[in-house]
Amino acid sequence: MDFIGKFKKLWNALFIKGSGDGYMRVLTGLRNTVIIAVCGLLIGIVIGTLIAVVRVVPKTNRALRALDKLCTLYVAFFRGTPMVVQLLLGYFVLLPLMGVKLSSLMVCVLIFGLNSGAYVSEIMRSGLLSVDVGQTEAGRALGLSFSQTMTRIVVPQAVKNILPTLGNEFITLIKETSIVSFVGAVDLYSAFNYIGSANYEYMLPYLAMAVIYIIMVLGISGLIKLMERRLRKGDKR
Amino acid sequence: MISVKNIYKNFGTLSVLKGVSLEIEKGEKIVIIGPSGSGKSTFLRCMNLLEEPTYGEVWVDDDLVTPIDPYLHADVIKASNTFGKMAAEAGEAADADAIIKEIKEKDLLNEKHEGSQYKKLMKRLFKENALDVNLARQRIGMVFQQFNLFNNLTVLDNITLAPIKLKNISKAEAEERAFQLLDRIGLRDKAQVFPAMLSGGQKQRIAIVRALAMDPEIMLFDEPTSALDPEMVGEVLDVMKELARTGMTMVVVTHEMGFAKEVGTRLLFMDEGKILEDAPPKEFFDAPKTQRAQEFLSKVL
Repeated sequence: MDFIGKFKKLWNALFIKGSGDGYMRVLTGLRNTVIIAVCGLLIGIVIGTLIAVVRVVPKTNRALRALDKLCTLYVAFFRGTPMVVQLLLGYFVLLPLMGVKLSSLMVCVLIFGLNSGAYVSEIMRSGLLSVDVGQTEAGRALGLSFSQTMTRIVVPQAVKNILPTLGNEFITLIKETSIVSFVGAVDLYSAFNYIGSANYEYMLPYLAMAVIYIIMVLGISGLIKLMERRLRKGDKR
Repeated sequence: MISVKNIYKNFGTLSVLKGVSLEIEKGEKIVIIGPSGSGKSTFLRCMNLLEEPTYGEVWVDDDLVTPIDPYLHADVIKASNTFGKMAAEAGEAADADAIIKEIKEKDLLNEKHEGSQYKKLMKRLFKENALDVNLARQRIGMVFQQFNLFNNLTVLDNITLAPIKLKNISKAEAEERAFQLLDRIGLRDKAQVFPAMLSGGQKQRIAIVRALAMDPEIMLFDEPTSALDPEMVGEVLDVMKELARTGMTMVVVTHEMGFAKEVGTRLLFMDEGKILEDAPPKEFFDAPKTQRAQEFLSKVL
């Protein structure tokens, strides 16, 4: 195999051919991957926390029970279908039906957020249950409302407990972004695919793609470990 | 101050409290003792609605914090369809009091079929008397067996969180007050420390101070020394004794008989969900009236 020839082709495609159009594409792809994963996770945390709270509180009235059912359905749908399907449904079915125009990047952020919400809700639920009920009781006994107790006391502790799992969810999201080209968004995969197709030479571009993914994931894992260690400082047991 | 009227508490089919009533006057130091499983903790937790009684009412001063219990209001029973029917059946000889008594004893009221008169009256009574439970709890401090300090907050934030959120005072004011309270228990230097770094005794003293920061009218203690190492029991009891001297109204569930004798103005002995004795501590310890209490004392003293 002519590795040097292949490498030259990749180099040219990245930096020379078409006046640097190749590496710009990779950077755009990288940026989009990060945007989709980060925004997706943030939306997911908000949605997931709300769903988790609904599922954890005692169901005292009919409205709560209905809401609980709704959340169950939501989680079942987003965990029960592949994300590609959700992406396609969102972009080609839901948007035209609602008559809304959104860029494919926006759609990806939204769908990733909704999808992640379902997974985070399960993670968050176990996190909320891991916080001693005495913490809630102490808050309520002081006269704090349910939501004040949740936001100031229970959720912060739950988040701390589930941080490693949340990190895994983020890594999953980063990797899942490789499907967004299904709706025409530029990401790492589509960038390298474009470079490969420019001169029918896919080996090195795809290898490079894999390396970039691995570097990102390893970096994130390291950051999470660091954050965990920081947070543990508060509670030597 | 707090009045508990005929409360029952069931957990599923298990009945933990069976018709308990209590009037707490300002300044009283009530000590509740009894074997484990007798319902004393549940009873205490019903006073600030951490447990919702299955039947019965809890009043804080003149405010109702539970739903209306129709069986406690003769006029509500009289407005019910059940009463109407029974009175009609009895005809001329109808004796209102006897019918009410029968309805109470046999639990004959059924929310769904008691008619609009009954519903209107229930609604009116509730509207006139009900108080948001969160407001009531601000006046009732509580100390737990397991301390329950907020693990994610420093000692100072533990103490100031509720006053800042609920009493509309500035952070600076709340912290000044918190430091005063910490001085009182000699733990000013722990203000910036997280609870995990404290000993059990320190945690419990701070938990007491956290409750006091809301300036409650009454303090509930749920076995405050049961989770402590023996050598730390004293320091917590000292804080409680000092608190008692300031005239605070207190209800204490405890196994510390010495504390009960020294501080208590009134002693309740509970067993199987009922208050069996209600007497001054000295009287109770010298001559318990019921056989159950005699047995209990012979085991613990």
